[in-house]
Amino acid sequence: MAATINTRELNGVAPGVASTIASPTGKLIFQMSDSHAEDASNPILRPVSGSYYSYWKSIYLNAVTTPPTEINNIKFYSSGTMSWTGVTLYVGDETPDVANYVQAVGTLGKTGTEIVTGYSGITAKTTMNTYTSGSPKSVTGSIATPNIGAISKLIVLQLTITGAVDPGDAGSATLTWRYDES
Amino acid sequence: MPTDLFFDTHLSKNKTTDSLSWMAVYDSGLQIREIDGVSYADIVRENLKEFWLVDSSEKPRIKIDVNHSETGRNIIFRKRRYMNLDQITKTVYIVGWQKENQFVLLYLYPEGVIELSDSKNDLDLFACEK
Repeated sequence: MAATINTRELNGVAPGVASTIASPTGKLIFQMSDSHAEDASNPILRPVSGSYYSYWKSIYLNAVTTPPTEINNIKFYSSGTMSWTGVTLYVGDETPDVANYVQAVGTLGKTGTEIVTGYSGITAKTTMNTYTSGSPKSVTGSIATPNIGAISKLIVLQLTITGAVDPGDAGSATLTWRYDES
Repeated sequence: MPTDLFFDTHLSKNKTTDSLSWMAVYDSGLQIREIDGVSYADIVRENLKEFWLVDSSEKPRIKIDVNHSETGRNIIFRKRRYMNLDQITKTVYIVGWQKENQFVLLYLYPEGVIELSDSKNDLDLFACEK
């Protein structure tokens, strides 16, 4: 049978606690705290000057059941048209091992630490709008039968917020995994 | 264009799910079907003889001959999944063969669209990234 796959988020002190983004209504909520909770606590703040950062999100592709043979060729992308005023979604250029997960840190309720500064193993970042279905981000990882568990390495996401941000709910965006199953 | 990979255009689009219905036929005569995304068994790549697309009345309509009798020819069969962070949204089937630097890939989209590719870039996508 086809493998059952989901997305998991790591939170808390390393090695982290893995939580599943529920199907079909789950969401990845960016907040000013290290939390998987899909609630309105510690919302994103508008900076008076400069930039604030959300607490970063570490996610990976996970096999709940094993594939018939193998899953590989993992890609990750966005619509390419995310346009939140004053808010930009970045992804770390490197994809750290799940074992090298780093807990999101910052000033609780105000701003997270920027990922290039605070996430060991990430040396640069790119806007998610750069990665589209036609030009997706490659993510290292694979899994072969009879194994289950983490398939990919970590995708690390973070919002950068400027004073131009509008108040209220900025709305949602869709991020997509693509992978081959055999 | 290889002579042993052919198709026509009489596929009836599957309107009930995002999955194609298909039937695999093996040298032994064994048949494996997947109807409306429901697998009755997992396909295996060895000794695959024919791959059929099945229409909404579950009748085989499009035959893809994946004859592997030629030495060194490897059958490619992949399901390419597209999944938002919370659910699978689409499955594309990829069927074809490869022998050294020669290959043909047939992309079967759930919308009923079929694309034939002999692009080296497409083949490179099958490289395992471990």
